[in-house]
Formats: sequence, C-alpha cells, structure tokens
Amino acid sequence: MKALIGRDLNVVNVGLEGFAANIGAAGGQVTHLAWAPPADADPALGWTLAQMIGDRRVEDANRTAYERYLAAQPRLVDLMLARDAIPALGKGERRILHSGPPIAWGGMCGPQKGAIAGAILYEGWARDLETAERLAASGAVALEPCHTRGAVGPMAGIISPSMPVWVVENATAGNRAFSNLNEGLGKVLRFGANSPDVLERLRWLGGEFFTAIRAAVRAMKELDLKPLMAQALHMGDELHNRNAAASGLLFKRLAQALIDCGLDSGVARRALAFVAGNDHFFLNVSMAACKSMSDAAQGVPFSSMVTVMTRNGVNFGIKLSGTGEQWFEAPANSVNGLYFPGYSVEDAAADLGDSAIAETNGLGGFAMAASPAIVQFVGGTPADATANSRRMLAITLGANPAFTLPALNFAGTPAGIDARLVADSGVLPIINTGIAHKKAGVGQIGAGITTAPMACFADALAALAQTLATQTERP
Amino acid sequence: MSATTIIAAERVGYALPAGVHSVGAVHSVFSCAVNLEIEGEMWTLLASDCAEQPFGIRLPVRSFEAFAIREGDGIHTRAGFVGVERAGGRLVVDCRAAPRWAPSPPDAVLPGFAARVALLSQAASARAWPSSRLMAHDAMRALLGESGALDGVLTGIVGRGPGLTPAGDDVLVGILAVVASPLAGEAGARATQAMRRALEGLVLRTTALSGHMLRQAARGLLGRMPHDLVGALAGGLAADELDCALRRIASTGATSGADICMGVLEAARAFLRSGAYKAAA
Amino acid sequence: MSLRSRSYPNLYKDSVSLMTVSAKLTATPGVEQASVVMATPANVENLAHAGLGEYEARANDLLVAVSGSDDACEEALRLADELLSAKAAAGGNGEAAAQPLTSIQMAVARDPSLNLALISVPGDYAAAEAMKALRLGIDVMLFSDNVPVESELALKLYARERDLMVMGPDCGTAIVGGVPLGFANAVRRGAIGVVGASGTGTQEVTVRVHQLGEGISHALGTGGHDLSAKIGGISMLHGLAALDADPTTKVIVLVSKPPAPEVAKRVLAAAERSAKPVVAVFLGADPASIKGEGVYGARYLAQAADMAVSLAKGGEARAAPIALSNEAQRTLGDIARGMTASQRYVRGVFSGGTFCYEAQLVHAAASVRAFSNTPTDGNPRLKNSVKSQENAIIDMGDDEFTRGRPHPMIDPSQRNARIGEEIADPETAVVLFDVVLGYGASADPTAGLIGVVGAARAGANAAGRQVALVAHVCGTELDLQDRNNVVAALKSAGALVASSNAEAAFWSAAIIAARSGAGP
Repeated sequence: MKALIGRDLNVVNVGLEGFAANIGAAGGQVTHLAWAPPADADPALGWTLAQMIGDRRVEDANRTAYERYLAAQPRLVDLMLARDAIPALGKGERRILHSGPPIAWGGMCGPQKGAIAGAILYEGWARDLETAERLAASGAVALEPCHTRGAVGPMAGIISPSMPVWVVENATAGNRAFSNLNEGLGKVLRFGANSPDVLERLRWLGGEFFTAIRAAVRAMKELDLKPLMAQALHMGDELHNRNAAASGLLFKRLAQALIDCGLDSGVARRALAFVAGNDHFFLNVSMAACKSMSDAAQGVPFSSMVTVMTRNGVNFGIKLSGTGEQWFEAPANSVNGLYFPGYSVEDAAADLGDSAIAETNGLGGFAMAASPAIVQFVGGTPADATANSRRMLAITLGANPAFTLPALNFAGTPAGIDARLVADSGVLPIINTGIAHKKAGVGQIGAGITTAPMACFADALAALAQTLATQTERP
Repeated sequence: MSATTIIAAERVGYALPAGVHSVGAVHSVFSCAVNLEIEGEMWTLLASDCAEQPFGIRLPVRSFEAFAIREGDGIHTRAGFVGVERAGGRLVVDCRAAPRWAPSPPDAVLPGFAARVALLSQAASARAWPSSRLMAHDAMRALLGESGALDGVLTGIVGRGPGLTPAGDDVLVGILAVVASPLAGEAGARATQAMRRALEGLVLRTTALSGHMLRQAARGLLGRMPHDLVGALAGGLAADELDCALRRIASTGATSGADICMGVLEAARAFLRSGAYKAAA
Repeated sequence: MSLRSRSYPNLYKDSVSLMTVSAKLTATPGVEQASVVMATPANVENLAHAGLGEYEARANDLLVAVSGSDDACEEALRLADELLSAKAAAGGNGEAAAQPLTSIQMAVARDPSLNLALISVPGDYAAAEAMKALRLGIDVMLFSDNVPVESELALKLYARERDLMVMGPDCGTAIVGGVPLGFANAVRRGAIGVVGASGTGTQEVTVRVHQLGEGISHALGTGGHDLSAKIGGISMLHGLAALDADPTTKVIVLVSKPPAPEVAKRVLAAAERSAKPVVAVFLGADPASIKGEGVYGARYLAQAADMAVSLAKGGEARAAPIALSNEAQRTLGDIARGMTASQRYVRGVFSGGTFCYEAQLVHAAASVRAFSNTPTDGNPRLKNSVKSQENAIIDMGDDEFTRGRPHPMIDPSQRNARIGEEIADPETAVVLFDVVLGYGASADPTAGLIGVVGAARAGANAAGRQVALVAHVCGTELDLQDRNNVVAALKSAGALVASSNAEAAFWSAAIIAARSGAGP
C-alpha cells in the first residue's frame, strides 16, 4: 500500500460490476473482469493454484522447459521400419502403438479397433479379422500409446513393427521422435478401414514406397523442418488441418532427392504420384517434428508446461513437463463443426488422434490466424480466426519466434501452454480437428473446432502441487 | 480506447530482475534500442540485431521506428510484463519465460596472448578517438598506483570526448571488462572495487545513459560486446574468426567499439597472464 | 402446478445479477417460486428444500428453477433466457469482439499498471483471488466475507513480506487517492487519514470530517478480524505505516471495536512512534485506556472525527460534547410528554452494523439496556430477531436478514417494513434508524420509507399515539443522493435528524429516560 499512496490508482475489479461502475463514475481508472470461478470451480484447488502463480520454482522450471522447446531443431534424418527405430517394437515383440492416452481394447472406439485389427493382419499375426480381434482382446498383442515410445500418429494412430516411420531428430538435444506414413483420404487404416485394398496399400507403403523414400530422405541429408513449417505457415497452412503448402514444399525436395538417387523411374514416379496426391502427406512429419520439440521440454521438475495433448476417441489426455509420465485424462469435449452432406453429430466418433501435438507446440488451432478457412465450419470470419490465435496468448508462456503469423503482424504463434493459466483463466486450448465416423472404416465426416477439457488441467495441477509440497518455497 | 499490443521478448539479459513491480519512464529512443529508466536502473529494449546487454530485453523486431515510442512515455513493470504507455496505445513486452542471455567467461588465457593483443591493437588503434589511448594509459597507471589518486585521474576521463557514450567512458568500460573478469584474479577484483568507489561520485559528470552503463560495468555487468572481446583475447577462436570478431567490434559505432578496445588493451597487458584460473565460487 | 427448469453450462453471473433476475422472474404473474443460482452443492440443496427440484449440476453451471402455472413457467424461462444471454459485442469492420478478461493475470498482461484488486466474489473463491493479486504484486481490497481465518492469516503474512496490504476480508469501505472503493461517500480531499476495521464506522468518520470543513487523504480498511489475536493487526499496522509515510496526511484516525489486548498494545505503540497525531476510537473501550504521546482516545465515532479536525487545524484534540441543547431538550420533552402510557421502548432499526453497535453503547451509558441480534457486552440477545421485545436495537444488515437478499444499504425495503411494524407497536416510544448514502447505497433511500412511515404514523395517530422518529444521515451533499435532500425528506416525514449516529442515539436515550420517569 505504501507504494500505492501517492500514485494514480488503477483498479482491477473482480466480482460485483457495480463497484467498477462507481469507480468509473468517480473518475477513477478501473478494469472489470468477466470472472468465473477458476480451477473447475473447486475452491480447494483454486487456493492451491493461487499459490502456484508466481512460485519461483515453477517460474524457473517453466523458463527452462520453454527454452528447451524453443531451442529444439527438428531434422528429418531417416525413414525406418518401426521395428528398427523403436526398440519396444523390435525383437519379434507383438506390440502395436495407438493414439491417445492408454486404453484397453474393450473400451476403444470403432475406428481404433478396426485399425488395430487391420494392423494385426498386416503383420501376419492372424489370417482373418475375427482372429485378429480375438488376439487383440486376449492381450496377446500388447497395445500402448504411441506417446509412451516417443511416437505420434494421427486419428487411430496405429504403428506396428513392419510399418515405416519418419525419424525426426532434435539436433539441439539429440532426442528422436517418430510418426507413421499418411495413407491419404477415404478408406484408410487410420479411420479404421481394414479391407484387403487397405492392406494392399500398406504393403506397398512398407515395401517399394519405403525403399524409395528412405533413399530420398537420406539423400536430403537431415532436412531442417522448422524453416519449412514456418514457410508453410506463411502460405495458408496451420499444420494440423491444412497441410497442403507444407506437403508441396516437401514434395519439391523429395522429387529432387529421388531423381538424384537414380532409382528406377517407375518406382520414383509411383512414389511421387502418391505424395503429390495427398495434401496431408506432411502432417505426420510435422507431428513427429512437434513431438521432438515437446519432448525436449519434458521432465523439468515443477514445470507446469504442457508437453502432450492427445485423444483416443474416448478420452482426452495430457502430460506436464513437471509430472513425468503421469497421464491426466477426461472425456473429450464435443466438436463444434460442420458435417459433410449425409452425416450428423449422431454419426461422429469422439475426438481422436495424436495430432493435437500440433496445438501443444503452438500450431494448428493456435496458428489459426495463418489459416482462417476452418472457421467457416463454425460460422466464423477470418477476424475470428485471428482472435482465436490471440486468445491463446492468455494461456501460453510466450510466442515462438520461429513460427510467425502474418495476420498477427508477424508475431510468433502462442506456444508453451501453462496449465496454471488454463485453470486460472478458463480459456481452454483450442484444437482444429477433423471428425471421424464412429464406425470403423467410413472415414472423415466433418471438421471443426474443439477444446481440451478443463478437468485434465485441474488434475494435472493437483499432482504438480503435490510435488511442490514436498519442498518449501524460497521467498 | 486505443489497442494494446503485446509482444513476447526473445531473450532477456541475465541481470534483469524477475518479479519486479515498479514505475519508470522512457529515457531515450533510437532505431535499434529504447532505454528505460526504472527506479535508478537502466533497462534497454533491443532490436533483434543489437548486441546483448545485462539489462537488455531483445524483441523480434528489426527496428523501433514504427513503434512511436517517445521519451518520457510512462513505464510500468509487473509480474514479468513491461508496459509502455505510448500516446497511440500501450505496448506490453512479455518477459515472463523469455530465455536468458548470460555470458560464459573463459576460464583460461591460452598461449599466443601477445599475438592476439597485437592483432587487436592493429584493428582498433586507427579507429579510436585520438586521445583514447592516452586516457587508457593514464587510467591504468593510476589504477596500478603508479601515479596520482584514481579519482583525480578519472575526473579527467569521465564524460570526455564525443559520442552518445563519450570516448572516455568507453575506455573505462573496456578496462572494467578486463579487471572484472575472473581471469584477472584477486588483483582484478581489487582494481574493480577501486574503480567502483572512484566512479561513484563521477558518473554525474557524463550523460545519464553513459552514467548507467559505467555504473553497471563497475558492478561487473557488461554487454555481449566487451565480453566477446575479452573472450577473444583469452583465445579459443580460429585465426580468421578472431580477425573477423576483432574487426567487427572495433568498428562498432563511430569510435565507441574502438575506444572500448583501447581500454581492454591497456588493462589486458597489465592484468592478464597466460594460464588457467579458477572461476569465482 | 408446474415445475420447470433450465441449466446453462459454464455460464457464471455474480450474486447481484442473479438476485435481480430472480426477482424479475418471481414478479411474473402466475409464478409461485423462482430461483436463479449457481449450482454449488449448497445452492442445489437449498433448491431441493424449497421444493424446486433435485439437480445434478456443476458449480460453474447456472440453474433457473421456477414453479407456477404452465404458461407462467414458460414465460419465466423465456424471460430468464433473455436476461441471461450475453450481449454479443459489436463487431464492425470485420473486427472480432474484444477479448474478455477473465483473470487478474490476463488483466495485468493487458495493463501492467494495475495496482489494486477489488475483490467481491463469493467467499469460497475470494482468498485465492486475493493471493493471486498479491503474487502479481498488487495491493488487495477484499470486500468478500466468509473467508476462513487461516486464509486471512496466510494472505496477510504473505502481503507483509512484500510490503503489500490486504484490506479485508469483509472490508466494505475504502477511499484511496480520492477514489471510492466499495461503499464510500464523496468527501473532499484533505489532511486526515483513516484506518478502519469497520466500513460504516469509517464512513461516519469521513463524512463528519467533511461536514466540519476538513478532508480525507486516504481511508483504508482492515476488515473486521484484523485486530483479533490470531491476525494480530497486520493490516492496521501496515495502514498506519502507510499513512505515516504519506506527506499529505497530517492526522491519523484508527477506527475499530476494542482489539485483542496484545494487539491493542502493539497498535498503540506504533501509533505513539508515529510522528503524526493519532486519534483512536475503539468502540466500547474506555477512551482513558488509550494513552501515549500524541495518541488520543475518542469514545464515539463523531468525536474521533471532531478531535482529528481540531488537531489538523493545529489545535488540541477537542471533541464537541454530545449534550442536549436547551431547544433540543424542550423538543424531546414535548414529544415524550405527548406519548401514551404504553409507549416505553426504543426500537433501533439499523442498516449499518457499527451504527447499531454504537447506538447500544450510547444507550448503555444512559443505563438503557437493549435487546439486540448483535448485542454489545452486557446487552441481552433478542430471542427472535423478527420480533422486538422491550428496548430492542437491531442490525438489519446481519447475515440472518441478508441471506439471498440484498443488504439494506442497497435495498432498504425490508428495513422500511420493519420500521413500519415498530411504529405500529403500542409499546414503541422511539424508532431510531440510520440512512447511509454514497457510492453503492440505494439511489433513493427515502422513497419507500416515506410511504411506510406515513401509513404507520397515521395508524398510530388514530390510536392516539405519537411515535418519535430519530434518524441520522451518513452522507454528504456531494453524494449522489445529496444529504440535504435526504434530510429534508426525513424532516418532512416528521423525523428528527441528528448530526451523527451518537447524537441520534443520545436523543433517543433521553426520550426513553424521560418516559421511564428518570427525567431529562
């Protein structure tokens, strides 16, 4: 108060609006908050949260985690078979990775079950779907989140040992992240389709395509991904739902490299045709790049920075840098969007996929200002897209200068979600997402915008508070 | 109600205090830097090309020309945010989680020191203000106790010469860059103390900007450029890199960089010896 | 008979807004009961008890429940929808709506020059908001009550370490740099600073200072528990130090009920160390117990103001004695003599808790014991607060009267009705009350009162009774309500208007003494 007396009063009014009106009427400066109870309206957690704001240990930890995230330099170093890149999938292990937080076979959504069954057939562990499903249900095939093994996959996000995976390495810290190949649109494994033609395509991807692209990737000698992604952001991509520009940029480099490799022209042509025909080809590369950046920030004690956001078609799951491998889950929020003709909300699967790793890194919904098209699905305008990006600044540690958004006057995209700020402000991370049909194999039926559920952040903060309680705070 | 612009800092200097809540004003505005006077200390907003400062806040901008910040604009800092009250709307700089720049002082003077000193002398002598070498020499003699009282000598140096930061001040910053370095050992620490005491009463004789710079330097808080210079002299850079670095520093500003070099040269000859030093605990 | 309801997920409205909507729904013809609340466990339970249904909802959901005829319920729900829907912020030139600020952190990011947080959210959440403000380096005024004392202590200890002040919890009044915070009066700026543990107590002192021609530098609040042994006067000590360091403050006034003994010692020691004269009014304590170099004790609020003003003028600490002028004696005597034998008692109906308290002290000093719902030491507790017995001086702002209803300072209708009842009671000789003006108070505090008083008096007159109405107005001519207008309105309704709460109580006690035959 001593500093206040003698200075001009500037009040923030939290509660009854009449008080703000009176201050204004008396000629004073006042800002009125549109306040609502924070921390999911839990008073005890709210008090705990209040003590984490400005806590030196959390601030220092966040600075460290955020710096590691900013300093990350993801490079595309290889394309390998999953069994060779990910130890847990090697040595003849019968293990399949899936998107989202952990979930038992019995609780999985239709598309994910269909995709797993298809992968079991692809691996040759069963000869028909029924057997494949029985194998999965019996536990004979281990099912784990991709995230547990440093990997990410969109939609059902299935990675099995014989599938090729992009290998992205963070040149700054050396950590690696992996993602599978994008099969294209329509009847594909990631939407749960597992018919013979799907498997046929997978075999081609795992065979001829794999050999060709691996050669090309190696010939490109460690392609720096951040500059490519930054360029795509200036070209109308947001790198979650819009990937056409980035896919085009990658195509340019692959084409050159493939030709330099001197491969059989038929092989090269087929490979390039596949890439050219898929506007989302880059998505999986982008996801692996984001995974490597987030992983760099993981594991800083006391940090409230969010390093994983993902969904498995039932639950939404997050991880914080400071709470290790612990998952914080809640039922996924509904998607606000438009459906393609003939489909409606009754047909929709719940939010699905590891692609929210984009938003975890300030891309996708956070970079909506770069790619306003998605707001049309929710009846918005480009100004709304920009406003959405701006609003995310309220819940992030800063803005990533590597990814600038022209619509924000080339300011960096909001990055580094701070769970404390989410719980305190009630502003939920916004995610641009496609909507899958709840039946396996039908495919995408719409697109729109959804948010991460508050309960995840509330639970995560409670756990983080426990770790802080074991140590006294320095004043 | 004019709009508020929020901009995230790219990097902040290691001396910038966290969690400070106070009030100040814009002291001076340049295209690549804006100086803020906050309760007796000088912080600086730096454009992306500008060298790091201990109280610097680096913004991802090319220049401050379009920002319309004026001398005297009010500053409020709170919880990691720095607000500038411009006529056309508030600018808020978000420093909360910005990575910190901190210098990593070398822990040894590698062989070949004399040659590097000669190289620096060659790069800087011609560019420095004519009296800088003499001022550096006089200051060193007084510091080493070989002439009259330090205060008296420094009185003739502080604030003397042309430039936003007068040449005499730059020379003293160069000297301080050396004596405050752990490489200068106990003797250097004592010399730093002496300089600090002597400068206390004298900083009012120069510009406010330069006075702050001197005060910070006397506390061992120096920007990237002087640190790099001392580091370059200590060794570790390849020959062409060294030449490049020295030339770049020596041609900073009108004579500013070269004047700093003059100070560094004189002090380096007296205080630096080849060998390893234990960094201060 | 229908019961209809609607829930709005994640829609939050403050208590005043909710009560306003509730009242409008209840007023809809055909509606029997209506309730608009946030679905906290306590509120959900209340709805069940009131027969308005059982609900499973989350505390951040808003519930509208209404019973009545089918059509009325339909209409009520439609009306609720209209009142509750947020107005879409005007877009224009393709610009998106301005970002709503939902947390103090967001507000600071937008404007780092914010330096005071005024917090009036429900008690469950208030301490957390205050802690966040402190952690962001912002001083706090905590209007909210029902904050646990452990939280209050944690807040004040944290604040003290960082040289910040927590005004509150339960702090209703402050004026900093001339800016009114909470319930406060428009008073001129001047040289007298106040640190008060009572909101209306602080208002009385600031208003009196203004009436005497002086002004207020700053009036700081400490909340009602600050001077307890557990809290130790942390905020009062900080406020005292702040005013001590303020060049514009020449005299300091401390307002409170008697602090816990060790705390009183600490506060008075600090007051003595101050270079400025300090006047302390610890209502209920003997002023003689307040001693020290440059420290002066006052018995009543108005006297504290008097003493401060005379000190500010460079004189001694002098207070006008509260005595009856000859004219006043004559008037009161006439009135007393005109009463029937049954009229023996005073009925105090107060909106300000501290005014109720001070009035009891004044009456006790004149040996008039009174029942109360908030009795001072030695006064008996009123068994049933809605029915007065013998001498009764009640605080209509106490919790039991304000559950789910606005405070009488904001909406005097419940208090006015009680005044009417007391006038109608044959045993009532004097009705004593306060009218509080200023920011936050009702814009027209006498409107309903004039009608109620008129009707009740007519009834009393018809039964041959003259009831004395004694009031004081806590306000200034600068207040929106304009004290001069309010005084005129009260006089035209036949009330005697005193210049302070203590004086009004003194007049009332004099009439009671006359009625009991003890003489003027």
